[in-house]
Amino acid sequence: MRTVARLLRLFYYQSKLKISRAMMYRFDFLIGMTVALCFSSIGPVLQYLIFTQTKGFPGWNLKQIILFQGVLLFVLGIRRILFGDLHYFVTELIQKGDLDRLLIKPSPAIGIILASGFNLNGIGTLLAGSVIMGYSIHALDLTITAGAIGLFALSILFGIVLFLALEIMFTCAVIVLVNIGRLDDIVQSITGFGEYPLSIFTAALKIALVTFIPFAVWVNYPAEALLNRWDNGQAAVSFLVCMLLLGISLSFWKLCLRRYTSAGG
Amino acid sequence: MKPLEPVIEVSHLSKTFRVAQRDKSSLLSSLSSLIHRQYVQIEALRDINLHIRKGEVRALIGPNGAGKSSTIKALTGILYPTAGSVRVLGVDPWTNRSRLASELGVLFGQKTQLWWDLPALDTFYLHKQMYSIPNRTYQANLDYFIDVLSLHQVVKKPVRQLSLGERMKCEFICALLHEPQLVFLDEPTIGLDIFSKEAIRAFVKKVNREKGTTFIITTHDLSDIEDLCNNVTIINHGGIVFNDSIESLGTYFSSRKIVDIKFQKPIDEHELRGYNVMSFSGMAASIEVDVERSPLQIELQKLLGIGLIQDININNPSIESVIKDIYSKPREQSLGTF
Amino acid sequence: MNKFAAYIQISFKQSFQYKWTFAMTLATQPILLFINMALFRSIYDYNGVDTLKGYSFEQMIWYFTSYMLVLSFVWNNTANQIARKIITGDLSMDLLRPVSLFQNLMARSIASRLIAIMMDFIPGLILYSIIIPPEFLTVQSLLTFAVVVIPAFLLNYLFNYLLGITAILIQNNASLLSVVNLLAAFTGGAFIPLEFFPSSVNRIFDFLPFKYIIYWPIQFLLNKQPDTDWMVGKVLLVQLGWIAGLYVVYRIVWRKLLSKFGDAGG
Repeated sequence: MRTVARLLRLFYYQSKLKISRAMMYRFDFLIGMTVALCFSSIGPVLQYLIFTQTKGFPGWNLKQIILFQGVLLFVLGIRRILFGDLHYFVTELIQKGDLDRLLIKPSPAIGIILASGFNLNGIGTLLAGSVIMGYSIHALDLTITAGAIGLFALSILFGIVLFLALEIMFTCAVIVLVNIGRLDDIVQSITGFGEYPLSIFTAALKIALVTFIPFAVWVNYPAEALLNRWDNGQAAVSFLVCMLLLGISLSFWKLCLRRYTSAGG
Repeated sequence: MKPLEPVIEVSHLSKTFRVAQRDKSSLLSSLSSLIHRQYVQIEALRDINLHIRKGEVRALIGPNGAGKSSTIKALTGILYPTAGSVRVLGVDPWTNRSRLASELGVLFGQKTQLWWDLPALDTFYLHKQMYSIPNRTYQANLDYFIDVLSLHQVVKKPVRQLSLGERMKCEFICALLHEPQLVFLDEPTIGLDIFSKEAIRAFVKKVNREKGTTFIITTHDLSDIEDLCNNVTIINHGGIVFNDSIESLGTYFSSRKIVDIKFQKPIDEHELRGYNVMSFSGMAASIEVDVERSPLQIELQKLLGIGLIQDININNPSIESVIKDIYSKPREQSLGTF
Repeated sequence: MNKFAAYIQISFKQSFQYKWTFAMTLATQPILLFINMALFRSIYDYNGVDTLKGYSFEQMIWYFTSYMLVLSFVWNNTANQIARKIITGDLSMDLLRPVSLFQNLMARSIASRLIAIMMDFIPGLILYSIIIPPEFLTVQSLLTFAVVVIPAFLLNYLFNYLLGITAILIQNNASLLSVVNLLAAFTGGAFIPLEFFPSSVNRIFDFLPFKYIIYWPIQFLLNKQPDTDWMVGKVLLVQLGWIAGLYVVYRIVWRKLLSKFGDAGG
């Protein structure tokens, strides 16, 4: 527990530094934030276009889909804020051979790596998502109960847990392969499965996205929480798998690290 | 014997920059700077006169930010002068850059011209195409250089596998393969061990002797200068502050001598008051003597009287201290001498 | 011509060392294919149609992957390369050579595209055809694709070159480059068939060159143009028009910016 506390503190301090640097180079930050928002918006814009130019998706009307896009942007914003710098950090670390320096620090290396991902540029996306969510909730005339908010927050939390697992696996891959080529893109494309309403997928895929690759947790669950379309049993299974995957990824990490250090680095 | 023709003739070269002032600290000022920029005039070069003859090995040195790079850029046609004229190999470099390029060789110690993952031979072949070197000349030159520099196996290995010394030798081949008349060497021995340095210096002297190639060397390594160069040009504060042979540089402080004394027994520092002591450590002292003020004979006799001498050396001030002295002269004092 | 060919040869050898990184899309595209197949199967079924916006199911799926296939021919990193040379000052080294930077970087791009075609396009075409057979593909469509994609490469190269030069004016232009590239891809139909955009928006896109780099080559590859000869002629004409125009801009701007470049740094 103490290590977790120390890592959270590390994350906090590093984030503070990055925020003050962003404020120093305000112009660069504004541009970076806008660029991040533009890139993140591609998915939602495409989904919106497809939805409006066709009969739509089963089980969703236009306003609900807009809510979904709002949640998507919100989640993308959180991802970038918490882990935006991570891929770059890890790649630089391995290619410069600095991993050794990390291993002699008092906190576990993977913790330090995960705590170094803060990137303020995601704030624009987060805010855009929040605005769209707010607008949709109003347009749909939804009553948001405390329970709904709780379930929303829970889904976001477990979504972060799942994403952590993914990032840990990414870090393992970089250590093993060193020259990652476009591994970034592969990770990006896989997460794409979680960024569409579940209803468009076949039954088999739906089950997969809720059980052993519970990507539905990222956007579908928070959206359903707000729309009061929650399934407790299903959620419990998904959340459990998220924790499991985190544990598996950490074990994998220990394996990779042992291989790295025994190979002489 | 016909007089050596000039390779570089620079007259009254001046360059003034207009640099925008930018204050990045606040959003408001960066926004306002988008609308109205404040400019500052910077005189990078003032009234430079430079003449370099064919076959010379000239050192072009100066502290960082002194105007060296600007001068070289003007010589290579990348910088357009505000005033004055520049003629390199008889033409104006600014308007004839690509034509001049075939007669120019460059070596940047800190940047590489070699394709990293491929054997140096591949880069050499590319140069053959780029500079349209005829087959016979190419092969002859290549064999010659590889022989002189002992690179027979080295040129076949990927460049990234070479040591710094090996790589630098290959860079030299790149610079000289097309038999340029004029070669710029920027920090050619940086980071090299003593053997590689000596090999490179011997190589430059050989090429200079046998092919009459003119070399201009920019370096902070003073032993390079002492070993290679006939003449030294020092640029500071945008102007030339010294332009003479290497011997003159050595005897720049013709009136100064450095006396290094080692005493048999430790002496009190107090005994050396009245002398210009450069360094002192109990039993040894380094003293600068100005023979214009007082003849060497008298100073020596006084020093010998202080204590029993174990060892004594009398030298001219090192080139290093000369250069340091020249570098540190403020603007007003240094210009106008040449 | 010899210099150019020599440059292509050496660039090819260099990039060949990294040939496997060119094949990375072979790993990511199948995933995208599966996602799209699920997405559009559902859409086509839900809408009860066989063609959507003029695309059959296969053509629609292939549209998204065709963007990657077109990139094998047209992608280049010239903007970033030039910007870096300007910012680090390495440009001076290139200016000291008796060959033009324009030709050098083009040779490099050509070399890298040759490898991309080898390692990415051809294997990709085979792999994706296994996943979802391209019923629409004919020899003619492939040929017209080839005819149109080569000017597309030149056009993209010129555009990138001019974009990279802006580094002389805007020192840290990395963000600008990524936004412009994003807009170019977006307006060129990289992310979704342009038919999905309202016609008013499409009219704007018509005035930009990007459609002729991405969208049109895809159209010919997907065999969506029955009256090919006429269409090919039109597209080629516009492409050549853009190439000529941008080339003129390049000649005018290059000299001017060189003088500005020499002014930077002591």
